[in-house]
Amino acid sequence: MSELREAWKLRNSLAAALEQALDWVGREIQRASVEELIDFCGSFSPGRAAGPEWVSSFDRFVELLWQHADPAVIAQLEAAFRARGPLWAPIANAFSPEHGARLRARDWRAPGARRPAVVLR
Amino acid sequence: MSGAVSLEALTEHIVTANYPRAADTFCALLKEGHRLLDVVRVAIDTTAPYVQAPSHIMPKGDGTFRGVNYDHTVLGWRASWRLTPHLPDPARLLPMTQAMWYVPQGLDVWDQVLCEFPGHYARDQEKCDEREAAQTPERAAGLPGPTGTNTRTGGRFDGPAWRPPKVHFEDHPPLRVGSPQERLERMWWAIMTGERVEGYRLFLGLAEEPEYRTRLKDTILMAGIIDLQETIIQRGSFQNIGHKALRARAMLDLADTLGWENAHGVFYTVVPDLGCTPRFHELWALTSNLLPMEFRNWQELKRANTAPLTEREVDEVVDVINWGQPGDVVALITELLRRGRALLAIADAIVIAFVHNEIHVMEHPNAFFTPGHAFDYCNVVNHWLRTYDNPHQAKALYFEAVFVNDVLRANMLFPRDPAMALKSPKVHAREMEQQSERELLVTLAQAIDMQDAPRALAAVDEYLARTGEREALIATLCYAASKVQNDPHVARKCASSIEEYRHNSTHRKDDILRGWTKYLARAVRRSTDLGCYRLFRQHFLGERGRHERPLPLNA
Repeated sequence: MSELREAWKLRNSLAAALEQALDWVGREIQRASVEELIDFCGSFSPGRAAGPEWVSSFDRFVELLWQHADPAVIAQLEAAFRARGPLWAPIANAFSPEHGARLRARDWRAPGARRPAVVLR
Repeated sequence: MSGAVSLEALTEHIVTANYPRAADTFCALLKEGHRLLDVVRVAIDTTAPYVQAPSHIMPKGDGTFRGVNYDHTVLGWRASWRLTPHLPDPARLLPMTQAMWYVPQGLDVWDQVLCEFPGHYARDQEKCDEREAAQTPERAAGLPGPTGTNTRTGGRFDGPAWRPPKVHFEDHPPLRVGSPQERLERMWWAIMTGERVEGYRLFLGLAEEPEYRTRLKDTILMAGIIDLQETIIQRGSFQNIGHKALRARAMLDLADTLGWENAHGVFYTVVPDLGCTPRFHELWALTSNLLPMEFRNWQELKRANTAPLTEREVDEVVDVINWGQPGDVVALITELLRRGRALLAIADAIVIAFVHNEIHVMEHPNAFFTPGHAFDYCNVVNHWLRTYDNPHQAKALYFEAVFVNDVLRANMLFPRDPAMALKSPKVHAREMEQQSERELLVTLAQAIDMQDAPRALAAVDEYLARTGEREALIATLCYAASKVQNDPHVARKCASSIEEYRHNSTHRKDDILRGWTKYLARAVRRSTDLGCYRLFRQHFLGERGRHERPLPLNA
């Protein structure tokens, strides 16, 4: 059982670390300018991404963006990517008010949980 | 449509890329009593000289290159033929009519991508009509251009052709020098190294000797299977997405169906292309090093490993192939082999891993296209494992697992589009519970017609839960698929799904039917027009000018 205890301790430590990481991302989202957010979103494009796993984390970034960013900032992101043409439509659609409403509607936290449930990947 | 009904007329319509006339003549010939396979053979013999490409990469003149598509006519014939036993008369002729409808659109692909010959690549992929219109003042003004226009669609790249298709690879005589074993080895090496003429001539010589046929089939399948890119990620056109294997399998099926003595056109269609550029043998190199390092008995693994996978191991395969990296996939296959798991049990789990993604992850219609090739490739590999006995077969597990993982990771390179999100099939569950089994099949067919994936999945989920009957379900899916024109991938996906469903040893084999359903109801279609379906109904159901509605199945 000592192994299980150690494993569980590690799990709890990582949960705390993840909460800190999410807080940090949230603060950075609030601090970033629109241009910086646009540049960061560009890092999820196939040509600039570190790999498929980086790109596939974009959905998780969008969730945090809708939690922490000002709606006016998100509207500017949508307009910027909409203007880039149809290839960028999936990115622009992630910043549409309808998508934001959908994400908020499914926001769920377990009783006693400090934060909404987090999907890791 | 009217005109002479003869095999000569059929030939003429094919080489002039006049696909509506070719399909019309095909149907008329069958109604006149011509044997289906005789007509198919004439069609294949006619197209064989015109479906080669000098290469599958084309220099663009600026130091870069672009891809050139593989012939799909032979894939259409083989896949459509495989669907016929699952359909009642006269519906069984619909997939064959679709194959015929496609064939004249698939000639001289090299020139199609250059906008120098009509066909579906020129018309749909390269948009040659639009490109030409933009360059010609008369056309830009909406007037007939100097080369005329086709009144059917307004685009000359819809056919008919204004010149014959080119022959990019001449036919050759058989080479019979050397013992059969020597010739098999030389053929294998010639294909691997791109000696297309020698490989083809050696194949033709060996094909004449029935006593070596099983070994020849085994070798030619392996030659196709091992020519596979390591990754498609950031490789552009420098990949083949399994076409060498798919075409080798199609050739063998058709040769067995037509009779090898009648199959020269099929051989001419496929074998020279097996050695075509580009060729990829990185995975062959990887597995040729890895297996002997890990297993002293690597050539005996098929016989030595007999254990099935546990449910937990199937979960592991699903998890790693869907979410792991290539190194994880290679390590998992090695580990399963070390645990004594049977090759076919691992292969079946790889198929389940693929359909898991298809059912639960893929959303955008475009996301199904390249992965569909990986699924069909798995079917070829698994057929090879099931049918032949070859010391290299353990390597093929790595090929298929890496390929599936790679196409799924390639999909991950494109962020999900919220606008393309699918509703859960559960929203239709209550409605489906109220329907009879027969009504569920009608609902399923209609949902596929309407590209309503959640509804189609809800219908199939309810059907699978309600009954153990599968033949009428398979017939319904085959018929729904057979309405789709201009796209042999659809029939091929059907044939692969049926075969893998029949053979899969896991308790999750129904997921193959769910994945197939979602593909039919969601994957991007090359055409939503029903011209070929209409032609079929006119010929075989005696209907003229009626508006299409889903046909009730007589299954």
